Amino acid sequence: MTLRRRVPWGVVLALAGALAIVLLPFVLKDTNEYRFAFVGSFFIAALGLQILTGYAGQISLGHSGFMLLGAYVTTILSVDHGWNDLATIPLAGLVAGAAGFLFGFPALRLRGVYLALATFAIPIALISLAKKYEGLTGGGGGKPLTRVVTGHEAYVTTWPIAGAMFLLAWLLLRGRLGRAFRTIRESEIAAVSLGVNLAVTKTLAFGISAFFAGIAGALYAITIGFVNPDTFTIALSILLLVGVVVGGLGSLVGVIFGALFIEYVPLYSPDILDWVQEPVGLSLDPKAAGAPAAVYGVILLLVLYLAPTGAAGLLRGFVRSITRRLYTSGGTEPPGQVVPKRREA
Amino acid sequence: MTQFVQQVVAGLGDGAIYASLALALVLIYRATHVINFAQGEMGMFSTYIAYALIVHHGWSFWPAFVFTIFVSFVGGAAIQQTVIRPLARAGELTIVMATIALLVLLNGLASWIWLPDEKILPNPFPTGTWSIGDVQIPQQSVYNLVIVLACVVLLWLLFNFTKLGLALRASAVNPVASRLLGVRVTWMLALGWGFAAALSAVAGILAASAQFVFTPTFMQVTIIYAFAAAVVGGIESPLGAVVGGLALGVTINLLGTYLDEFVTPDMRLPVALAILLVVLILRPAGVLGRTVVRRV
Amino acid sequence: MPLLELTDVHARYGQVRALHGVTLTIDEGEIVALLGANGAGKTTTLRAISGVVARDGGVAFDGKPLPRSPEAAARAGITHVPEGRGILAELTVRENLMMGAYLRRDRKAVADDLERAYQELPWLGQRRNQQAGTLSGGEQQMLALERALMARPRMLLLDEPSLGLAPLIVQEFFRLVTRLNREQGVTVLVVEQNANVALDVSNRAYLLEVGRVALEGQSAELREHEGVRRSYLGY
Repeated sequence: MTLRRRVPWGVVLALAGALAIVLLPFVLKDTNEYRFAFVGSFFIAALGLQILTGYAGQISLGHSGFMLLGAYVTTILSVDHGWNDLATIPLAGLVAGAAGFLFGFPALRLRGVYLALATFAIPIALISLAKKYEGLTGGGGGKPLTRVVTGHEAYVTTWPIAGAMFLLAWLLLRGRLGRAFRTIRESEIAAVSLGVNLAVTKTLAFGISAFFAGIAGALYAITIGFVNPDTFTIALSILLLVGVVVGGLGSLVGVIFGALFIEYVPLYSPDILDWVQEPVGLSLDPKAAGAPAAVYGVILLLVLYLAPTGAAGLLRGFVRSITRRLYTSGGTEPPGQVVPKRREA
Repeated sequence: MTQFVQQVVAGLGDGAIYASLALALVLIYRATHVINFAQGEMGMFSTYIAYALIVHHGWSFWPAFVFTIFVSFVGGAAIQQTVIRPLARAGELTIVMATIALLVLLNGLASWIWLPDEKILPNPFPTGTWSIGDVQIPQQSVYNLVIVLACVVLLWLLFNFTKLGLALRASAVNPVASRLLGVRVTWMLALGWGFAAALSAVAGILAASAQFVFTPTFMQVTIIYAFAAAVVGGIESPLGAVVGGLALGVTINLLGTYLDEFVTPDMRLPVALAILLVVLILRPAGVLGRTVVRRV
Repeated sequence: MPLLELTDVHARYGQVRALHGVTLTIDEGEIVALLGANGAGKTTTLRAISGVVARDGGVAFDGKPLPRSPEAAARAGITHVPEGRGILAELTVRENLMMGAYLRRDRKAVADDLERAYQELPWLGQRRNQQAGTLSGGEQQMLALERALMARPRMLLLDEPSLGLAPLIVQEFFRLVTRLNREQGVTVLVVEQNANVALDVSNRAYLLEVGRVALEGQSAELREHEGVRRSYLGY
């Protein structure tokens, strides 16, 4: 007989994470708080992407475009119309969310690779538009915001919102909507035959994830104090996708690891190279052009190889091996054996 | 009219490069069912190898070209065996991630080894034009087109008229059944990646020699065009990739010539993508793609 | 010496064990049936032989241990026609047949075998350039069989050939199998849920339950066996 008490590991982790985030400002310097605020923005954007790709199974490489929308809503409203920049955040999310929702309609007909290509168009189109309508957006040169925030201010603005967004995601996904998303990911045909309204669900997935991205974009703009179209290229979308995969597809908690990964690994690549080459006796210059990128690529490959289900997958495996040892009291049947019932004539 | 023909030919010359890269993407997609986002960077890296042979080691262009293609072939197969194959069980998104990691890695490596400053690859083709009546045909474009089409035809012959080609196609269609018939499917996959790498080397070298200078990022826009051409042509259709690439090259050129008020160089990519998206909405599986009728 | 010998073979799909020690032998020239309910491990047994699924335990073919990969099994002379037929749908009928002969080097003999296949099933020849995926289920099953024969195998593993086929077509298929066994001496191991048909066609049969051999014997005797009749023949 196997006993297993259900410890809500996800909740435990989330609470531990929340505690860490509350305590961190007391330990970090202002520049590091600043950087950690970026982690917060990426975290929110990646949460949105997780909902769309990890849960609903819709591949999107255009997420940065929705961040761009959010960032510009905040900038334009606060600089040109005198809004308080914090007050613009929900609107930034809604505008981006509406755009995402609208994108869902043409996207209904597309799947897989074809959908991926379509999503490519989002940031490309929006960047071009931002550059074209200079009067509104400041064009390619960008547009500064009304105030420059300190690292601490950025941190304290971003993370409570990040926490709220995490809760929002969790609430949305644990109910019918989450189940509908997951069914669509597994099989659209099965979903339809189970009564899931494919059109509504898919457009909602795009809309909700874009909402998250918009909020992330707004926070990003506030943190940097400046908005520039070239920040939001496809490269950023790909970076967010890396974050989602490294954190673990389908895991909300994993996203924090992904966000940490995409912010800090590129930063520390030169140090990692030094650390690796010392015992081997190499003396490559870690600050040489291209060296950090090459190291980052190798690290990413290693992570994919060693943890193909992401950080969340690793954690799950770790937890499973502990609980199995703590709670199982040996059985005699081999697992997976089903004794069939004999058919009586 | 004369300008029209000229621009069409120039467009075909550009389109040949997109077609070559798009075909590489389709080859890999058919075999491995992922988009190799690193395809452009692989071509870029191959171009740097050719550059090193020509400029640092004094080789002349054509031997360097052929040798680089051969090295790229081996390199592509090696990448499949070392990077992609170990992840085969991990799901398609993970493999796509690996190609993205490869993209970053190759880009960084090229900058690291050869430095990111502008380099010049000697152009073996005449840059003038031929005159047919009033029409001036750019020679370089024609050469690009001829070389790429030659490669495409060679591959087509291989795939359709040889036993190896049959095995390659069978492996892509049904790997398990092919193994049961004795085909070493992982070798077939490696070969597929090898051919794709060779095609992207051709694309890169032709592109670089046509430009004044090149840097490690020179294929990054090209891959987007190639991706678009491959998808809209039908991601599993080699013919679609080639035709798509050529058509895209011509369309962009004509748009840039005749709608130059709106379609500034900045706007080329968005406009091209917009057109492609319209096509995609009308034909969700690509122009030459099979519409898969799903049996429930 | 038996042609194929399985000794205490175990196999699993990930964490789920499907075979718990299967032992059976097949002599050259026999047609042997593998029966059992859904999930009994019949298909897994074939996959364990051909190496599609990882296995523990002894598998000997022609006296020598059989390597564990599908390519090696094919090279050794075992051709496995998988469940669902394994047709190369986008290739033509002719290309499918030629792939059957992939491992052979004798070009002239291969061409002769191709002609023989076209003569045996004239419609195959008429449709040689048609995409295999557009054939009906029964036609695909015949094509799969002919493709397997192109390899000139010593042993055929047939996995649920009757699945999804009309009874008349099933009869035709097995008539062909019996003729091939008689005329060309091809040894056959056939997995079937349709116990009736399987017992008609085979000399001997094994009954699998929950990944183990529960019963074995001459097919004629098993037909009369009370338990088999009740549970698998329906009367």
